[in-house]
Amino acid sequence: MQRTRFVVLKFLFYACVAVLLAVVQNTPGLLSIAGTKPMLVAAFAVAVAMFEGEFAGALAGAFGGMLCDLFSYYRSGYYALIFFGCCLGVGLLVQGFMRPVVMNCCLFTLCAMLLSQGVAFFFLFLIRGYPGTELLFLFRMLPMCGYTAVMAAPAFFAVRRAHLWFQKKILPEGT
Amino acid sequence: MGEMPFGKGGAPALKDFFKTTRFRVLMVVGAMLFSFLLRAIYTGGIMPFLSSTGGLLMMPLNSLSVSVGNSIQERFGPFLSAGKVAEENRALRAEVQDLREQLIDYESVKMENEQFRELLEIKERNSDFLFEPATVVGRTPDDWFGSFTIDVGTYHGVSLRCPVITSEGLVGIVSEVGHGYSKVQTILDASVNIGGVDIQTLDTGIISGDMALAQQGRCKMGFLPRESGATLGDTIVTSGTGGLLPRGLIIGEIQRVEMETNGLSLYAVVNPAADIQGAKQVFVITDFGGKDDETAQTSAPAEEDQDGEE
Repeated sequence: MQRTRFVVLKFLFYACVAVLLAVVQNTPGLLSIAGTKPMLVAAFAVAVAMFEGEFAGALAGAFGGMLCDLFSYYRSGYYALIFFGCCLGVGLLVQGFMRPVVMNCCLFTLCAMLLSQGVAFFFLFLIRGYPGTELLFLFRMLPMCGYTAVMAAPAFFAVRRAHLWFQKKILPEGT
Repeated sequence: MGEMPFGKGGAPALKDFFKTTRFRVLMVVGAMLFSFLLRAIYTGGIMPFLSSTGGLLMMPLNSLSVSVGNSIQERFGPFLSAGKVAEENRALRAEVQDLREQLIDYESVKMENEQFRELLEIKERNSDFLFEPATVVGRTPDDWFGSFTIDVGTYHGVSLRCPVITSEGLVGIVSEVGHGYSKVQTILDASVNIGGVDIQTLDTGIISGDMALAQQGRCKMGFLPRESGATLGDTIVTSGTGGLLPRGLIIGEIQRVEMETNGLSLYAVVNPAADIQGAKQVFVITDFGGKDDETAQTSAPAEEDQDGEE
């Protein structure tokens, strides 16, 4: 009973943090460097997927994506679907092949951001043939992806700390 | 750090994962998300239930966050841009002598008063306009063309493609609308096409965004005839063609006129009158005379029409 309560509390905590990060990332002017802002929710969802596995990670990705979709330039549901897939992949990779370390978290976040922005760039701008699309990719999208990848480091440490704290409460003594 | 912080004993091996119930559940979730996305693309709107629920949750939080952010910016902004402040300080020192006796609040009250006066002027000029004041509550990391979210939606009478303005001029159009919020696509956006007219020469063209110009906060007025007399400083207003936007909304001023690469027409680089990237308060025109009237004619702007009538 106690264990279930802490499991629920843990995911409630993650949900609240995701909402808070969504508010912070969408607040005009906040964390903006030369007009570039990080997608904090994406970094957070990737970090959650690294520690909580593919199932919880995928759901965290979908939830985080929905929060991003609420304000996003793209069609609603786009980020939810992309981050769902990315976090599922991250969870599986960490379960089977890669270690949950900070560099991997930054790398995964960078890949997730490049995938989300790359697909959107291709379908929304490149194939429509707008002149100067490469400028948008080089000077707006890439810096945003890089900035988000950098912000994945604090997200990783925060999630790891929360995960370990909750695991101590959830797992019985000595395990 | 090097160790896995969670046990792997209970987790199924990767090759077995695809046979598990978890995988099937995740596939169902994925299919649902995909169908939501398809629906959003098909209807041109948003996932009604999820987005509206999410919007109800996020809007108050973002409004709070914006007001906290603004007060922080007001208090600490000068420290973060010391160079700019020093320069401003030099310019303002002369003014300070005259303004010393005035209270600090006076400036903000005056500014607010001016804003309302301008709104009244717009209202007087266009008595058929129905306005809904709105606050910018969100600017996402992917606002490539200065797009933003405002705190009014269908509940306040806002509908898709409603024009969004400031007291200076046109900002953009509503691209998605939820119960209590709307997303605004600006005139810097490459996918926005608005009929514009030069009030000096009466040449018409299409206002749209351009990737390179958008980075400088400017847009483009294309399809100007080769013999057009449009020149630097000319004012561009909406033409009102198609009934999507009212006639006579100020878009901006021409900064330069150049030949298109195809050599068939000219285009003008337009400096928007409204501060699109920095807008905090905007007005949504929820209704106006001739809305959705496809027979609306392209002609001189509202002011000229009024002059003509007089």
